[in-house]
Amino acid sequence: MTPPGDVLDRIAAANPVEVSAIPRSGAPDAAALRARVVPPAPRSRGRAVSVTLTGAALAGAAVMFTMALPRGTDGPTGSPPPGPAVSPTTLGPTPSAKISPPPDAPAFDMEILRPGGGENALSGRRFTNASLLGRRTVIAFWASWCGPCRTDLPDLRRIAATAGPGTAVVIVASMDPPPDALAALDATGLPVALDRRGTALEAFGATGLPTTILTDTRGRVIWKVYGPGLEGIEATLQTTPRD
Amino acid sequence: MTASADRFDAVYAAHRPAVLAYALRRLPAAEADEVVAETFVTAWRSIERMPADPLPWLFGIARNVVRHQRRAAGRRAALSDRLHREPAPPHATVGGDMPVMDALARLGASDRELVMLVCWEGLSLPEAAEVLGTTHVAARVRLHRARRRLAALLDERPAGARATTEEIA
Repeated sequence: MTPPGDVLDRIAAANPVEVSAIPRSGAPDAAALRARVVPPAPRSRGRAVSVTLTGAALAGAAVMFTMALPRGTDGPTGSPPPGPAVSPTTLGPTPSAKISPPPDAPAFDMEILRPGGGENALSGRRFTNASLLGRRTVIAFWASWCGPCRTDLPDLRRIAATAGPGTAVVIVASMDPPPDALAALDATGLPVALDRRGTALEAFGATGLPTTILTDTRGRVIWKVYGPGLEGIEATLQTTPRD
Repeated sequence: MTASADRFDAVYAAHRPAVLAYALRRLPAAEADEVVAETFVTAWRSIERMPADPLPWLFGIARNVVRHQRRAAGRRAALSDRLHREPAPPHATVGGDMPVMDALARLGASDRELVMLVCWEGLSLPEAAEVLGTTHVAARVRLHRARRRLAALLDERPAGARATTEEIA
């Protein structure tokens, strides 16, 4: 009979992972993890802000929910309605928002890390609201340290390859060191802009990564997705004019 | 940088390896990094509640994240009825003591977690009780029963089966 006292020693000896063997570098740094939590804006800015905060809270929950769900299930972004309607995870999904013109994208101005090529190429040195004019643009806020972001990458590449002329896919490295982002995105050939501190991400009302925005040819936001899964973007692209 | 951010960064530097090891013992390596990130993001959100000795508290968060990951993975893979009936065995058994791993896998989920916290995470019994949200006394009783159960499971293995497993390992 094995003495019970010896059993725990034997289990301890069977430890499959030694902490001392784990490298202490190569992980996202603490600042990047802190940056995943965007502090809420002050609540004393009137009704419009209140609506935004409510939307942001829903969106935050949706991110957590979506990340826990398999793609293609009944998650908030898994089975979007057809057409350019506002998705359940869109900020400000009030009844009036559905019949109002799409809102202009918030003002942003980002450094271009890599312009990309072909139909997707960005011109100039900065990625700004003006860059959105004249073509449909998928703006993917992304980070190399974000696992769900990496799951979206094949879909982003497919969209860029199949959406045809008049459509651009731009990756925005958000709160990600440029060398890390560029190395992770090297094989994609997609244009990459830099949102070093996540200010543009926050301006779009997002609370986490990934967040993907679709704008029309006039630079207006017509779809937002919080969390992974781009089915809604793809469905909307099919019904959005190219010019 | 704020004092909270300083403290978070120090805790992350000190305890990331332990939390990663915790995740690696329970999930495939591909998912362990995300468990670590999610654990520390949650810790940062609740930084004002972080105790002076944060490791048991971090393991408590990581335990919830791992369970969440397993549920999600279970849905993704549409796990078979067999896996639904049996508790998830500890991960990373390759090269380990297979009879011990088998015996661990046959414990109840809570007892197995208690044994792993004490034997592999190196927690004291009060710390393990804190992770599991139970009392020191209850944890001591459960560990005592788990040890007896493990001893019985290891003894009931046929000698031939053990020899074969060890040859493979």
